[in-house]
Amino acid sequence: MQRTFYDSLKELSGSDDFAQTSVHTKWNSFYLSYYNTLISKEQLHHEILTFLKTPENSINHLQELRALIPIQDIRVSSGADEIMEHLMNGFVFIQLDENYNEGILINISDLNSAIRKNNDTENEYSVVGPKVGFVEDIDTNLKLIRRIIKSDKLKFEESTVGSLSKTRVAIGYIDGITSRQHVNTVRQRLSDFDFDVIFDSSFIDQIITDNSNSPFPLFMTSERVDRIKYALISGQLVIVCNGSPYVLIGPATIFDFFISPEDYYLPWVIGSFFRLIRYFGVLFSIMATPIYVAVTSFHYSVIPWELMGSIIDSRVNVPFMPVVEALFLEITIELLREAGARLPTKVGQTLGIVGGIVIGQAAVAAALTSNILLIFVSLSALASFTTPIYKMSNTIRFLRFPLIGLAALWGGLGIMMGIVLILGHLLRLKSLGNPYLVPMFPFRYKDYRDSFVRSSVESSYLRPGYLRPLTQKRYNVRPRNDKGDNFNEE
Amino acid sequence: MHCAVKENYKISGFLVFFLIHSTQTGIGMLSFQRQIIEGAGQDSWIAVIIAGLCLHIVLWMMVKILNNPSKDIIDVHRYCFGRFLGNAVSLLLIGYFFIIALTVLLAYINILQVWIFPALKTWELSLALLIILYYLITGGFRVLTGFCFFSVLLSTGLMFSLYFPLQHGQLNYFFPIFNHSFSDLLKSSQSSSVVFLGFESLLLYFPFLKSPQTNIKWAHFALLFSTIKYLALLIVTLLYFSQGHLSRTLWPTLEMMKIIEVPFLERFEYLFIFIWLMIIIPTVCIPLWCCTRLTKRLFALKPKLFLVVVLAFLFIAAQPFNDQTKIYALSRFTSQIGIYFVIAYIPLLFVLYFAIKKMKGKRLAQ
Amino acid sequence: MKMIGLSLSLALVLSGCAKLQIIDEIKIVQSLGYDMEGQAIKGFASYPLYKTTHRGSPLLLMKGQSATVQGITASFTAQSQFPIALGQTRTLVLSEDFAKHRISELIHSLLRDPVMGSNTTVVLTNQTSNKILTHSLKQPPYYFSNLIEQNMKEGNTPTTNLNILLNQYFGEGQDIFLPIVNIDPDGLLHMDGAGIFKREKFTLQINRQEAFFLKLLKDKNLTGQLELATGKNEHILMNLLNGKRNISLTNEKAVVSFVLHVQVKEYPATVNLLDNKEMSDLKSRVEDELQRKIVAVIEKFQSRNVDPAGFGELYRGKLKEWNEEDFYRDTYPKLNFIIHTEVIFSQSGVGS
Repeated sequence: MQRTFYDSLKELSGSDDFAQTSVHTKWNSFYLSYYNTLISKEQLHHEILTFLKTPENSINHLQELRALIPIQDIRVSSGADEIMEHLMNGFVFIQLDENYNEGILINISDLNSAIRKNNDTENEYSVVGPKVGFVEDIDTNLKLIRRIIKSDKLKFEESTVGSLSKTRVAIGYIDGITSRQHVNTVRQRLSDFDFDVIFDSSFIDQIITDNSNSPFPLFMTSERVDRIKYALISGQLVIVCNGSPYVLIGPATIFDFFISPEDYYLPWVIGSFFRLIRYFGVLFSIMATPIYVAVTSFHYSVIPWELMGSIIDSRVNVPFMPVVEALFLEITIELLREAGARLPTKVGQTLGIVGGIVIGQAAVAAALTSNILLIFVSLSALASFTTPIYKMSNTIRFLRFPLIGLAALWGGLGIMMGIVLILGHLLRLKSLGNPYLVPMFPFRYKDYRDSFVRSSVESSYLRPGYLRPLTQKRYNVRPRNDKGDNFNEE
Repeated sequence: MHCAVKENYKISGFLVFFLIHSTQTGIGMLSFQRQIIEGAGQDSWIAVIIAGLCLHIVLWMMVKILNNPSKDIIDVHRYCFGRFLGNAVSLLLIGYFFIIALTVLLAYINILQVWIFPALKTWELSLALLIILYYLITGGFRVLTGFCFFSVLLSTGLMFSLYFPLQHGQLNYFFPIFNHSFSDLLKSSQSSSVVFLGFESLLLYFPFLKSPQTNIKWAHFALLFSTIKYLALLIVTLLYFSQGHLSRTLWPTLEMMKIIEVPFLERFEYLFIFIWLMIIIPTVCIPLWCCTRLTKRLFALKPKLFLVVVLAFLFIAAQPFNDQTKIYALSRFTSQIGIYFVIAYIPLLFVLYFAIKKMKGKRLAQ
Repeated sequence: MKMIGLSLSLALVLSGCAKLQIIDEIKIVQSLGYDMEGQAIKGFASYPLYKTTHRGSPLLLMKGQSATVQGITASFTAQSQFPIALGQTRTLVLSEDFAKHRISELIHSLLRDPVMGSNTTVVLTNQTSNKILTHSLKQPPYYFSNLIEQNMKEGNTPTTNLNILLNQYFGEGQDIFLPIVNIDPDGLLHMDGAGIFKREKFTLQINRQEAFFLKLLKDKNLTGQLELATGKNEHILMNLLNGKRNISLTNEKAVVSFVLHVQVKEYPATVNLLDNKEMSDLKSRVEDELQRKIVAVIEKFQSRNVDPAGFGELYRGKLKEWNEEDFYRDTYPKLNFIIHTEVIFSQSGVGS
């Protein structure tokens, strides 16, 4: 049996911000229902009430009423569920007859007024390039994307996720480029999962992920508009979620997480160099402390004699095993980072300096840790921040701890066991069914043009093949003869 | 009757290169030189070439048997010996692959105990390694292939470290060339073909390859690459050691790494041994995977359950091997079996298979 | 399943780890010394003490006594609050007496033991190793091993290390030589020639200049400083920049030719190096003198039937059939050595 709007009124009026008023003219009565917290009062007065009160003749039909009001988003409706849902989104419902189910829904929503209008991409900063970031409102975000990719091929498929939040989620892709299979996978996984409230796109990530027990992020998360656009034109799909300034990109490979948009804004030589530095930073960040623990606890003979003196000197007054001092320092650094992230920006900065210098120095002076380890730990913390995507840099910081544990158990062998496990794990991972380690494995020679290094514009005109794009070529490269020096020519 | 592997579980055909190469270069690379020079001394590099080339023929035979249509050795056995007897013969292979995995595992643990952790117990190391193996093997064949890829990358990268011992080499140790008799060379060839063992697991993963017809050249390339690698390693070893010294050195490759000193690292052999973990893992994992594959095909057992059983057996079997002489005896035994399997059994099967095929063809024609 | 995996991992963690060798809780031995006292071996080990917070920590010495070569570490352990770690040992000093009696045991133990690096050097001393190591205690850590290494790389000491030593001992057609370190009457530690063994028998000691000629005959990189008499009271001092050695062998003679690029540091005041004739005259005098000296050294080797330069090894590589015993009994003592030297004065300084 169909529920009528009249039945639900009782539920609605339980909330104090639900308003029901009526307007009476000499010909008609209009009954209005709306949430006054969700609508724009100004619009209600100027664009609805004004016209309702001054009709020139009698309105007998909803279509006439519809023609009367100068708002584009108007629909006639009689289904209770539809009406309820629209009321929640800031529509006003107008009936001609209180007891009659049918009425019109007018969008005068004011949902966006509580939302910030711009985002300076503070968490994903790049010195060169546009500074526009996504905001919490999905329409703004879609607008931001569409503003640059002016193609009718760009499609957004919207759906609603969350039994309570009814969050709008849009899958964006470019028709004819993005693999249909990936789009279908996402659509399937979104509809298969029943979830209550989506606070952030990270929830979507966790719902549709291929492996929820992995420390590695399987979808890229970005608040940068340029990164999303780049993902779209390379054949990835994006998932925009209302209420979250972070947009998901999938399928992602592990190498995507170390790419900064800046790589493309700088000359390819420079961009590639800094990208390599980032990879080195990751390796260093994961390995430095475990190696220190392994070497100082087990493998004294691998240290060159020139270094021997300074390492022993710095450790000689420390009463703890290397693993204890390493964990002590690592946890200190993590505490500093956590505190810095939770505190207001200005306080956080001060705390960083205080914590870094004062605690570090004091710990060394009190012989709780060694100088050399302090250098290693702070350098590796620094190196972990070079990773452009926050989720990945968290993973990297986390991976250190099991490795330190293994290093304390079996020294270098333990580290190697850890690496074997991590590698095995990475090989098992898939993002939207796509291998995570591609193009490294499965090996795709052609896709190396934009992975560890980025090659020049002339040679990176193909989309990455592992994304299975429907069109391989991004643009045509025409030979130009005014480039470079003409050696020995008149 | 044929095993059909679903298309989405198959791997690209050229990856057979990494599978074959990584299963051939394992623990043998650290110690093969001493056994090889027993016959032909400084001429034994010729023996490596001979062995490598001979195994190309065996590989060719294997592919001939397995191809058209793509199948594995279980099908071949059933075809040749009938269902019951064929399965019984295949059953023996479980033991063969098991013993190979056991040998490699023990040899690596032995190296760790001799070179780095003298006090570490066998059970601890084997348990830790088996946990890792379990995780990797349950990832499936694709994950193992991926691991093979990385292990090939690493072992190839490590070959560059031979530059340093080469610096200390004496060219004269390489001479005189050809002063050994043919029988000496043959003896060396026999012991050097041991190091190439491991590629016979192709008998089981062959159906997993996409379009094997066109990609089988990669298998030959892999064998060739292994030959080149062993050859390079052997030549550097011959240059670095005098014959008398080499015949008394148990792990010549590691001994050579001891000379390397780079600014921030001394005693390169430590790093070498640890990295070698990555390189031996395919040589343990692939045989173990073969074991589980065999049982799955023969008894339709759940492979995951059987893997646990195999690993538990491996763990128990590893315990009695607590001293070096027992491990040597085991590895001698394993290499004997391996040699007979590859040099004698596979050609035999080849002849048998095609004889039967011809017979059946004739009968069909009549 | 997961529970089993978890509990197994837990068992591993709880069962403890590999044996710890925490870097500041071991005694890292830098140099080992071996002496003989009657039938017993006396061993010495120098190690740095890093209890101060400055670099250049003092070295200390441990002393031990035992009947076997490896046994001395047991007596070191008895004197130490920390385990003894030999992995960073870079030098072994043997007294002449020890080398005469126990060197084969030492070499066999070095062959089996993976703990020491291949760059470790073994040196001899005419004095006691106790004295040498005690002397080196006053110096910064690794002074002693750096002294030896520097002299092999740049100076006149023929290069050897553990690998070369083992190759010589176990290989055919070459004999061990070990550099000699002594303390001179003024109390300075210095490299002093080399000792040559026939198998494990200490046979011949050569002086510093002879050791340099051995280096010329044997080493890969020819470096060093050479002082030669070019006439009555005339001396020339040359720095060997680089050089090439070519050895060709026939059944009854061995021709060794050298091309040496040298930098002249000092030369007789009467000679004008810019003058072509005087120059070539000096050159031929240097070459003749060099030739004479090298032949003298080789003849010395022949007379004691030792072969540190490895001519036997070269013959082994040359001949299809070669027998070590026959070679040293019949061929080597009668072998005729012909030395050609060509000295090229590459640089002579900035003034004339």
